[in-house]
Amino acid sequence: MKRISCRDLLEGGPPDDDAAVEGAELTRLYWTVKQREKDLARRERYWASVHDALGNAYQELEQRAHELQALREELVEVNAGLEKRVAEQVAEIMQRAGEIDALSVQLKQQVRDRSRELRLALDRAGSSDAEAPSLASGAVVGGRARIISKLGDGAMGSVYEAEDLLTGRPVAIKLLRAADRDALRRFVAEADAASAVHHPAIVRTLHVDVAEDGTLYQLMELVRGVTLRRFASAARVRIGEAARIGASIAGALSAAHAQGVVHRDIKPENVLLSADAPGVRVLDFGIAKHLAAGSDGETQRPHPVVGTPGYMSPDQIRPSGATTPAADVYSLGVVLFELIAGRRPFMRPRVEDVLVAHLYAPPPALGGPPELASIVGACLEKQPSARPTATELEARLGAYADGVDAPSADAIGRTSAELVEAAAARESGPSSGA
Amino acid sequence: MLDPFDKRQAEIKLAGYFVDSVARAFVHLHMLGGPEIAELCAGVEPMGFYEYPRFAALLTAVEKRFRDMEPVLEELGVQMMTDWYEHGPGKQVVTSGVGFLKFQTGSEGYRSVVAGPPAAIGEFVLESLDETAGAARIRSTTPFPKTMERGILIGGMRAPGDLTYVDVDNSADPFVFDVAFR
Repeated sequence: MKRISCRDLLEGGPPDDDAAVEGAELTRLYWTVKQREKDLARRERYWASVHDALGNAYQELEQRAHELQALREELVEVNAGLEKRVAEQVAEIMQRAGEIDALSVQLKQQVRDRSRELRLALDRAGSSDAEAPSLASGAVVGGRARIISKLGDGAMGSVYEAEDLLTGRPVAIKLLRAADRDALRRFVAEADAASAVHHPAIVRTLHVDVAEDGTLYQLMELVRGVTLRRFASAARVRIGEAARIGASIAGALSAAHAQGVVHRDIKPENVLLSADAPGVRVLDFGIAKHLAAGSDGETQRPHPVVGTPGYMSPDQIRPSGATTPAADVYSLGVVLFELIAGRRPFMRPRVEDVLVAHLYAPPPALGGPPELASIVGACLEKQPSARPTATELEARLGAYADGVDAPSADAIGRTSAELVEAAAARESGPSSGA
Repeated sequence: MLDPFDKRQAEIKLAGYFVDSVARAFVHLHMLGGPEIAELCAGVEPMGFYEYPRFAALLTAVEKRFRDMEPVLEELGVQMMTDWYEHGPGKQVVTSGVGFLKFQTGSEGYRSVVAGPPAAIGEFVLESLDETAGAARIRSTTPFPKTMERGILIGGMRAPGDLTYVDVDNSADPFVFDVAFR
């Protein structure tokens, strides 16, 4: 019999056949085995718990996987729906585009028809030497405006205060007094030009149409005020006021020039001072030229001399000259000269001499502040390219006016009416933007 | 697990190395990863004392993964004491299983890792010890999970390696641990 220890038995190899554990070693073996049983049971409980937790985690992962798969399928479905909707919207857009094309063609046809009507009206009016009808209060023109009272006669026709039957608002309506075809053409050109430009300092054209009797009429906003001519006659215009008024006119011209429109007849009669903002308004684009027009050859053919001789630029006078925005700057220069000096730069008994002076004579020296005289002198350059643009002029005159603390255009507009009324009570009642 | 409504928890603080040993045991058991421990034990110094939530956060992080937390807590207690003996100051403090029993129930044991009002931290009292018979009885009124304390007793008594057998039974009364050892 070979006695071995508990450790030999548990940690060594298989015991020999005659090996035996006895006494204390046997007791130790018993407790060791018992401990191992306890440990095993404890570990088993522990691992069962871990196994359960892992099972839970696995189940949770599977659940997540299912949820992700469901989400993916839902996204695929949503995506398919989106694609379908986008395709439908594209188809709808294409359909709308087709409709817009058709509408565009239709509108072009309507414009052509309207132009033809206007031409026919021009022909009728041009061949009849008709005078613009004199209308009594209450008469309705073209189903659009009810006459209230006559305001006066403009360059192209008679002007009335009327009620716009469409809006119920007071308007000015100009009725054509057609002496010839060119006058009619200018009337339409004025309407075209004025409607192309939107600026607070330009009197807006609201509507141009042909009445049932073939009379051409132009609806404009009604502006109550006095012309710069009347203002200058009634009161001495201060230097700063002249600069401010000039800056406002230049601003309006700048907007017109940006739209390709040249006024061609800037003069004190075509500038209105109004108590309503912005105080200074340019009106009567009666001989305006639209630079972009002329595809029909009409407006670009060798031009008749148009404008008012005293304010006409050399470029307008030259038979071969092209009228550009610089022509308006020249005319504004004459207006400024007149406001500052109290007289135009070229005053001659005969019109022909005035035109020749515009072409060749240097302007007389302008008194007053040298800075302002320099600005006016630049405007009166014979070469169009040597003159400032309307935008530059607006900036320079504005800066000068600010520098001398000149009143705002609004303030001048308000004061002008009062001055004129105070100086000459002979004329009362509204003036209009025509 | 501690009763979350036990108001005593708000009054006790735990030694940093206790919190740290709990965390290490969880890592050893592969129940928490390094980054989780780093986050849960950020700023914990071994000699510092920390509010109970530090410990509760560790248990909560593990508990949510297990339906039956009891075996885990028991194993946690065993692992904590194994680490404490093998890698901590255990070897310097105790040299035998019975020595651990005396240490743990003395002023340097439980009281060294838990601070707070006596009523809050409770007691871990050696009520009887018969070394010849290999039997002892401990009464615990601490706020800690009793299953974890059972694991602590098993792991702590077995760690020195002088005992062949250690069994701790509190099935009759969770607060009374009957220890059998050889």
